[in-house]
Amino acid sequence: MIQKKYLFLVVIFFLLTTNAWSITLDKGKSVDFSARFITTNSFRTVDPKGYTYPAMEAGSLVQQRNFLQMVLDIELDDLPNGWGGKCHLVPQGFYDSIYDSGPKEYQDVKDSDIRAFEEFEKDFDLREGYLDLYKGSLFLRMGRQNLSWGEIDGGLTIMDRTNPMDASKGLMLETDEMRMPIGMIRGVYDMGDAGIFSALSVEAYFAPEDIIAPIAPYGSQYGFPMLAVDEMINDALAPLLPVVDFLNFVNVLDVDMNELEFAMPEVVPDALKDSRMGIKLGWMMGELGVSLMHMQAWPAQPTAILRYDMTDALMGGSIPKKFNIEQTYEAYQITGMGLNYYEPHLDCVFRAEVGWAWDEPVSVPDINQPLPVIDDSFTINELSNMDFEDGKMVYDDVLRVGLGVDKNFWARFINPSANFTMFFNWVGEFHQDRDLNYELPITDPSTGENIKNYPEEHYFTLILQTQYLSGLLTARVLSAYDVRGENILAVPQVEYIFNNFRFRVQYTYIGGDSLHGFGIFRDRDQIAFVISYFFE
Amino acid sequence: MAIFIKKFRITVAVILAFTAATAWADVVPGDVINKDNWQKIEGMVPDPVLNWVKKGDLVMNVTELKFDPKPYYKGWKTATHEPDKFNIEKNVIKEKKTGKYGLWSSQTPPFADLDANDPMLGSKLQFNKKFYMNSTGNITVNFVGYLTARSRLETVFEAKQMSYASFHLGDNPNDFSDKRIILVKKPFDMSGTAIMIWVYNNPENEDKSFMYLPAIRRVRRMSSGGQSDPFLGSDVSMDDIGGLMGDYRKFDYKLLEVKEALFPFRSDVPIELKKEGEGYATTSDFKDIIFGFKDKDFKGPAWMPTNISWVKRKVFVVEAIAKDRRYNYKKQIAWFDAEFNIDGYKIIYDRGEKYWKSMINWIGFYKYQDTNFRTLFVDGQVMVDDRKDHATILNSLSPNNETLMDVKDMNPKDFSSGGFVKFCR
Repeated sequence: MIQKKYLFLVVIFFLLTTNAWSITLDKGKSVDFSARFITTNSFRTVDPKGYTYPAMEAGSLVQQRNFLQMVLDIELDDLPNGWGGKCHLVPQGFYDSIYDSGPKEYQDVKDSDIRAFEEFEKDFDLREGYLDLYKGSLFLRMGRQNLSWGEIDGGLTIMDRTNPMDASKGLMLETDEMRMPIGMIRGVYDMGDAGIFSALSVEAYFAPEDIIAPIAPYGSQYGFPMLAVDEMINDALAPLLPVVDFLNFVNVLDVDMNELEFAMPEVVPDALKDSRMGIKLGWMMGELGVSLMHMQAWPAQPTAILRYDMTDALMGGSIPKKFNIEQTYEAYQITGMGLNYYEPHLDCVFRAEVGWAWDEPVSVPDINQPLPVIDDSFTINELSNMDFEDGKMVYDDVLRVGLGVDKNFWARFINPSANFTMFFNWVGEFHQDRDLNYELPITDPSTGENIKNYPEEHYFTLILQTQYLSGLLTARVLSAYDVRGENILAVPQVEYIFNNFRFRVQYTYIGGDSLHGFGIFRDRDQIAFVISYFFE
Repeated sequence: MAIFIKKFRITVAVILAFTAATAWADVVPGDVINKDNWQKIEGMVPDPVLNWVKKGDLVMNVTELKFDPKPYYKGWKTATHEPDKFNIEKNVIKEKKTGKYGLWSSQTPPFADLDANDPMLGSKLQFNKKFYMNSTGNITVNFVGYLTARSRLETVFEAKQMSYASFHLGDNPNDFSDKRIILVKKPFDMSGTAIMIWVYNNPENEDKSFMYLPAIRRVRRMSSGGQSDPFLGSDVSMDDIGGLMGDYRKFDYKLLEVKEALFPFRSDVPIELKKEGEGYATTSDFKDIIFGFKDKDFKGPAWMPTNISWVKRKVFVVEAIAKDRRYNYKKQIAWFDAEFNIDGYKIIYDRGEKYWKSMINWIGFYKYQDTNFRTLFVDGQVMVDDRKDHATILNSLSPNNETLMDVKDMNPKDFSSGGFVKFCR
């Protein structure tokens, strides 16, 4: 039985080996190779605000990341029957040396979980690898690839939910570096004009590869703020033992603490019918661009479902010894629409997007990770009568709406020789069941409660960019505002071009103390020095 | 007698002075014009270009075209010219009989017989230019852009442009004038950027622009305005590529003078093409343009071409005044060749009508053996910003990068929303 994730490789192999196609390479510059190397050194610019592990003071080195990416494009000439084609390969790798040669705090973090950090600190992979085939109105792309639908960007996604996003490796990494290519078969068919609809096309994809975004391990530079592991366990199990200190539990019940087992397995859909897939119809009506989309997606973050394993349970089978916090992904459907319109008098592009998520898995820890109810009258003898119920998934319909404006303008008092480019976005998120207790399964260490989410959220993003020195210097600022949490994100950067080098300084500022949205990283402000070199 | 001798001497002196002035302001093939003899070309090049020669930035090798250029611009198909086929109203061209916009089904230049006294001459030159620039048919150009300071090359970008000249077709239900796709290949951080532009014959239909950005993996709708804004941070804008360009409705054109000028060409001989599929392609067998940064012995600026050919030609000097107050250039002056109506120079003035920058376009002639396929092409340009002492070169044809012309089997579906996807990573 061929595993789903290798299906795309099989398809490519089949297509390449049938019919004895001869593939002519490099006929008239058909092969194009380039590469880039990027080294990033980041320093924290604020002191820790509590419960960030390790607690790094301002001025500490927090990232020393080295990244190599190669791109190989091969035009396929002389394919039979009028087909054209291209092969695109992107091997890439990175190594963050901070855990081996950085501050002692990070070296200690790695020592505490060598296996996890050996995996986390470096990687080399065929990031993208696909084959394009096209003839007439039909285009096919098969292999590991990225795909982005919708009109709203700047970090806010409505229909752009095909590829998982890896935010574990850095703060404010490029979107394309975060986007994780997945194996898929994708096709586009151009249907031309039909009545009032012009430039009609239909696009569909099927992505059987089950790649999910990694979660930054505890102690990594960009992990969520959390208590230390043993403090977390104590905090989680404390309600069970109101009269007995957990650390004495082992004495009272003569239980070896090491017997308790905690696991966080990933649970990923493995049936083909649960694969990511989607279909889009696009067309133009005058100046208005329209797209209708429907997709089956996986959540960006898993739902943590607590399941008790009663195997070899304690106290005669009453108290579980094994706790599984299953990081669960379930497929769900999204229906949406995108619009774009160029207004010539204002010289603006307006964008709009709406998406309705059907039965999207949502985080409600009270239901996902239920703990037995304990009150003040509870005694230890009642432990054997406790009911340990497994957690359940919770689903809700979610409406997301976004508006965006793009505008080029001149501000000659700031830059007399080049214009400014502005991208502005607003996204609103509206959960339909307002009675659910939406929370993240992450404890706010200062309150001991889970970080709250709300049924209605609003975010704004603004990107401004201009150039100086005849294009050699680019100045850019990305900013975001979380209305609920009153948090501000501002990322100004400047980049200078010198031959094949790029020198960039980027400052990340997160304002506000609310542990909401990106405010979770409230004490991760940093300044990054990035040097890139292009081999071409 | 004394009076006679005095008058004779005065006459001879006048004759000698006139002859000297004429000789001083005239050039012949074989002349090399540099900072020591710039007076010879005074009035024959725009003043900013003359200043470059005076400073020693530009050396001009005067030659003559060693072939008859007429077959290259009188209409790329042998068709009978139809005089008075077109009308111009408010700088919009329409076919008289059908009322259709644009150079619909034109196989010869729309205004072949130009009259210097015609108040519409400036506009007619622009439409003739559009015809000639599309006379190569569907085209694929691999061009290289160089951004240079005076003493060094700063950065290089490479791109491929595919143009589909819709007006050569019979079947054009959307009334496109042409469609273009530009694919940026270098530098790495811009590689994969793809731009698609749809241009309509009917000026009421705004051009549509789409850009694929690899950073967000998505096609974005782009503004069609900002045609005079810097392109990719360079010294050129979209309306500079090819010389005096832009939406004709947004300018008032006026003929300033007719005169002889030194006009830039890639070469004084045509370049031979080879057959490629259903079109023609350049070979690697022709001279490349050598810019200052490539010539260690050249003392002038890095951007200056050192080996283009300069030929004495009759020109129309036309002024274009922008009507749109958002346009970055208030005044532009272009020098058009009087026969094939493409501008070899463009001088640009800012919103305050102060001089800003100048451009040289050089023209190349291309042919395939002894067939009817002969064409001319704006195959390179340099825009010098005299305020910043900085320049951008666009070298459209090079022996290292193949250019395809008259590509009859170019797939029009590539230029649709669905077809554009294949150019997006």
